[in-house]
Amino acid sequence: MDDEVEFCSLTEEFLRDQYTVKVAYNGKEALRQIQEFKPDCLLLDLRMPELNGKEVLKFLQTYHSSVKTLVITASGNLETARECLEMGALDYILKPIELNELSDKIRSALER
Amino acid sequence: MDKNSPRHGNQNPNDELRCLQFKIDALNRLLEVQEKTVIEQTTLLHEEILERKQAEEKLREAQSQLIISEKLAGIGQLSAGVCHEILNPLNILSLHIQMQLKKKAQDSEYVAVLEKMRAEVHRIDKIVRNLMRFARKDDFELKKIQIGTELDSVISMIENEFKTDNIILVKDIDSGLPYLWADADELRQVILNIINNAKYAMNNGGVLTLSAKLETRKNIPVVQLKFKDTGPGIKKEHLDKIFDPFFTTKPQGEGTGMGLSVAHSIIEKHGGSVAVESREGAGTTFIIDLPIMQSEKKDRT
Repeated sequence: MDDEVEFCSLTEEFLRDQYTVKVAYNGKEALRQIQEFKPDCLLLDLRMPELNGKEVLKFLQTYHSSVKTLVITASGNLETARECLEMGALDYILKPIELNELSDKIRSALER
Repeated sequence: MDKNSPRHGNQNPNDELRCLQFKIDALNRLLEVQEKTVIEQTTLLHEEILERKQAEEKLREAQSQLIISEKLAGIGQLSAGVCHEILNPLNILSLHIQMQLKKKAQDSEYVAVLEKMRAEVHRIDKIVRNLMRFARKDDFELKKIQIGTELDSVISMIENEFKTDNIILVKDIDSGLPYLWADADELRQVILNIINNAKYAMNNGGVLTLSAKLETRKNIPVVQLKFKDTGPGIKKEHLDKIFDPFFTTKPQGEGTGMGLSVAHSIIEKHGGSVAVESREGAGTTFIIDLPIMQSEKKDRT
């Protein structure tokens, strides 16, 4: 989930051969889809309209702690990264992302 | 009648002479006293002039530091917001390139162009990350560190390159320097940036003298690091710009112009200061002062 439509579309195109991919462009839509589809893995941006990434992480921690979450963000702030990892995120990936690296991280997250 | 007056009608010549001698002695004593007073006053005046000059010099230095800090703080504030806005479209650009590389892997000519574009994306990413690092105010992990250890760790990284470039490294690091509270990663980055600049300046070989000493700066105990190179020095008109982001004298593509501005920002966040002394043809010295926490003064390594 990310409010950058083009980013979502390109990532989906890259991942859809290996996984079933659902896209959400804001936090509220993400929560709705998480309830409906119960995903194994979530790629989560931090700066989003309506509900931000940290709020989504809190929700996941309480209601869906089994969802493997990878944070993908442009912010390289160490403190934010630490907070996200403490809130259950498995990784903190900085934009611009490398697709092959992302693929490896999703695979290793799903294996955990 | 005044006994000391110069002329008495019925005085004998001897008395007159004694009287004159007495007056001369008195005048000499007066002259000596006055001469002493003049010397004392002149010395005092010289000391006052010197103190005033030193105070003016300190004021100029503080003003110059303040101007640089304010200028950099302004740029930093602007950069923090802009960087985030750049990284999102850069990410999309990078993804398009990667997807095209995947789809057109057989077309070598096309792939070569895409690889060049990908390298440029990495370059923009590096510049933006540096700018973010420069702008960041809070992201710090302070630990007790020994500056000598951090200097050694950077030196071990570049020692071989120095040998290849005919650069002699002279170390003058005081033993028993106090511990510092600092972010070791950030401090190593500063040391590396300054050493790299010196290395670039001495591309025909030279001497880099690295010193670390305990000093007092504005009545505060500091660990003072000096990086003195024997390169060609910095042009006078460049001296007040060298800490500006993106200022570089290197040819295009050889430097981002962020090394010294990042160094300045990091040192300032540690409560320290960084200054440069340089003359064309006479080398350059970077001076970094890092304050020692009061409780650490007796806590020697």
